[in-house]
Amino acid sequence: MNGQPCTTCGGRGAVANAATGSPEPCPNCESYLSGTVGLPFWYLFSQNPANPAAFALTALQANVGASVQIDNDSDFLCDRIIGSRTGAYNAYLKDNFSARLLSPSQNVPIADVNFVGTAQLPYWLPKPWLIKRTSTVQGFFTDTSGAGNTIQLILAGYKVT
Amino acid sequence: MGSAYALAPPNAAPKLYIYPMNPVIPTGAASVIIFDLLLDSDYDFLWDRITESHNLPYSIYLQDATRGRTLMGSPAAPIFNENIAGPGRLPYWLPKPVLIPRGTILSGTFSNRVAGGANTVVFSLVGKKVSR
Repeated sequence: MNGQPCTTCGGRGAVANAATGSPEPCPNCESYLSGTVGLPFWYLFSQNPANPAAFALTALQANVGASVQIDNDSDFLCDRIIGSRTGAYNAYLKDNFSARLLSPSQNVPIADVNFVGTAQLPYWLPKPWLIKRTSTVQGFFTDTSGAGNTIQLILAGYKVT
Repeated sequence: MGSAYALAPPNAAPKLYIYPMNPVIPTGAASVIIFDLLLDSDYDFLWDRITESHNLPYSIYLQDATRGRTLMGSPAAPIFNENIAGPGRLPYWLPKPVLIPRGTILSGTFSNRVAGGANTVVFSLVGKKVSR
């Protein structure tokens, strides 16, 4: 993004089809809604990333795996962590692309209240976290509420190329 | 001097504009309703935050119907309302303002998460109209 509008579409992100006149994505630029640059996105942790959904833990269930898989179309810049749940839980996260752990030990998972916020008051990352396309972030979740626990944990941010 | 005003002079693009999606989700724990929002054709829209209000918790799945682009991973994984928007005093600020071309149709699929009466939702895209 150099601040200059695309010379093909004038920065509009779409052009008229020469034959039909119908709008279609601009073939020259990657402006919003024709490409993916800057597209806000929400990635959910799921036990089946191919078909993501909120997942549930039974009472005191430990080390249940769930992951996020980044789409192939763009890298993802995560700038905040958002979530909701029906009971307290601990989590342990790992960036599978770099095999880097995001907390010291699986034996010392982090309580959700210490790394997750809501849309109103998200947990802002000190620096945005670039996650490569197609890579996965793995999480292991342990219920501490003593009751069934439905969790929706989200990496929020936007797509980048 | 102009930037001190919340609203532009007549015949200029509004400096504040709110596009509401206001479906009433029918009674039922898994009731679903699709709401299509057609953006005005006078100006493009610079979208920078999301606000919402509701009677009951719900999930939403947003997509750009004009271009067939989703804003979330899967219709099977709609986002809970508390994870995508807040009230006006604490909105969800987009990481970067998003420019949406005029005339775009955004489609939201709203689904109830709990049983109860009809769920009146007002899910608002907030920003300003811009002319380019």
